[in-house]
Amino acid sequence: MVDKTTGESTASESPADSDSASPRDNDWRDKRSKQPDDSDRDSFERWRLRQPYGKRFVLISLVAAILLSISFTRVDLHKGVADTGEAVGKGIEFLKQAFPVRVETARRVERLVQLGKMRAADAVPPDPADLEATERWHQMIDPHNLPVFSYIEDRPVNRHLPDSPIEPFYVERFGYLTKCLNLMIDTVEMAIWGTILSVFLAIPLGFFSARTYTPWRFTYTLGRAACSLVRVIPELIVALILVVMYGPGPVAGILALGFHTSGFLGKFFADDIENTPPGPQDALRSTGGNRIKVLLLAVLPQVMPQFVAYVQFILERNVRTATILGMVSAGGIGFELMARFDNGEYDAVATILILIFITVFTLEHVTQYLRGKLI
Amino acid sequence: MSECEMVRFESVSREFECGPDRCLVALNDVSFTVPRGQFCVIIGPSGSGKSTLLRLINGMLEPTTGSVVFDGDRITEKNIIEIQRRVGTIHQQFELVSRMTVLDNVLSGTMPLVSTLRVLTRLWPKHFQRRACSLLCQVGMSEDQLYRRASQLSGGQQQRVAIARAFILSPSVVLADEPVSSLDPAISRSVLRLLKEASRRSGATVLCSLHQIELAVEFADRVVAIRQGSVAYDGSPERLTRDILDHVYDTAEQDKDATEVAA
Repeated sequence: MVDKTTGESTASESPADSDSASPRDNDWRDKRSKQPDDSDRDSFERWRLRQPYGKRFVLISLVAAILLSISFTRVDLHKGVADTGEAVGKGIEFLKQAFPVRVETARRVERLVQLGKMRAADAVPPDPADLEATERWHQMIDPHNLPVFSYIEDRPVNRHLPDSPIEPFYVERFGYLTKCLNLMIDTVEMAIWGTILSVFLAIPLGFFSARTYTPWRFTYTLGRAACSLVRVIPELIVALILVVMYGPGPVAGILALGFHTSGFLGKFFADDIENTPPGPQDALRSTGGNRIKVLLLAVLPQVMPQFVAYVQFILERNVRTATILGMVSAGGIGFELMARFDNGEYDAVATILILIFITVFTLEHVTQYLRGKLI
Repeated sequence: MSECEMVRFESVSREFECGPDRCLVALNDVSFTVPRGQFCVIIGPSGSGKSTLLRLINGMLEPTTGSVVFDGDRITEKNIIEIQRRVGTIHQQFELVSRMTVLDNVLSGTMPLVSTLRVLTRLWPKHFQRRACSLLCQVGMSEDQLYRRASQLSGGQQQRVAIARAFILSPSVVLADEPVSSLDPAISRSVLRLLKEASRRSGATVLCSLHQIELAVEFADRVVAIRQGSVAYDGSPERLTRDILDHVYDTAEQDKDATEVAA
């Protein structure tokens, strides 16, 4: 190696002595001659820069935002927000009584909470006509003019009692499937909102639980502890507590799903952030950028495929789990499944199970497709 | 202080702890001055302290004793962020974000001057985008490579992008830590030529550590040789003799050892 470093060898490789260059060097010079010279240097002015966000992206975002805003009220999240606001308000009231100090911020929060409650109450006025409409429909059934595939069947009122009276029953074929489909859509909505909540909770958890980015040692311990804590409490238990707090309905289910899975996502995010190659991070840090910017530029693009895969997994998991949460009255198709099972209506149970399978299977394919587009 | 000096090392020593009561002396009482606009190449065997010397300038390390003066200001914790903005760095392994596009990688060099929201949404200011295109054009990249991911480029192309990133904020000093170690000789020469041309255009001072002596002699305005943490040679590349290189790289000792083993 040192022999090559002598003055003689150096001289033979100098640009002035181009005739003695190796064939490889000549190749390189050929390529170099095709590169833009000084007269072409202004050609970059004609380079076309892409818009960072195209029309398609804006359109898709708009549609997603509209669908989510419709879903927000469908799954009673507005009531959940109002209830949470009320709880915070009462908490502030309690604190004000316990510590009689006039806190301007507390009063502002309280005003905001009251405003939010009023808005939530205005958003969906009660509709007493719903129940009446259902009753009218039952009175209007004409046995000779039933919908396709529906029929009237004589069956015992309670099939478990031998001497139960026999009465005519209106059997909805597609009708029941439609009901199940609606419940399944509710379940999927619950799972989506649970996943959204989970991601929002997991981002700060992941940041504080990553050894390379946490600001202090105690925030690291705290972050990791929070991830473990929410993971170890089973969703059913969380859902049971939340049903007591928020009443039966999807809100309790969404919150249970969100809290539980944020522990998983937080841990996954933190582990991936820690395992990202340090080179590009050091390179950007040495330019004087703060750690948030370094995280956004040098870490996020690298870990995005794994993050998307985790979120996809959590979404699928949430759909499966959301079907069970219904068993503790936390919304979704689980309540229907449990009720039919208790009544011994196994045909209906089979319908629900097949529907759950089809949904999870379809969702997996849809999310795989979206993942391919996103990454 | 002379008006034309850019970086000055004043009796700089740097030690690394490597166990209880043991420490490794990476730099030992190093003093020299790099004038403005000079292409200064630092040579020396692996572990001699070349990278440590460069990392003291961009604030990634602090000297144990002595001080580094940057454009008349002593580098301290208070002014390091300001100084980092005036220093561009080129790394041995390019250190591009492999999943980001070429354009985003170059623009990531503007990070200290761009708001966090812009960084998050990748809505880079137009003037930085134009400057990135200009630099990419200068280093020989083409329009159709702008939106290719860094991982899809060859080693030489990645290093060109890294050079563009280092020059995006028109730095006063560019540090190149073994920028051509992982490239073949032809591409190495091309990359160093681009680096020298870019520094000539912008008037930036370059401190470049190299293992290839022939490239150092070809491109350097001045060569500083580091041996076991101390400056063993400081002068023009033309005066770099075989004896000096033997001393810097301990080649005579190695030849003697090899002869003894053969015997």
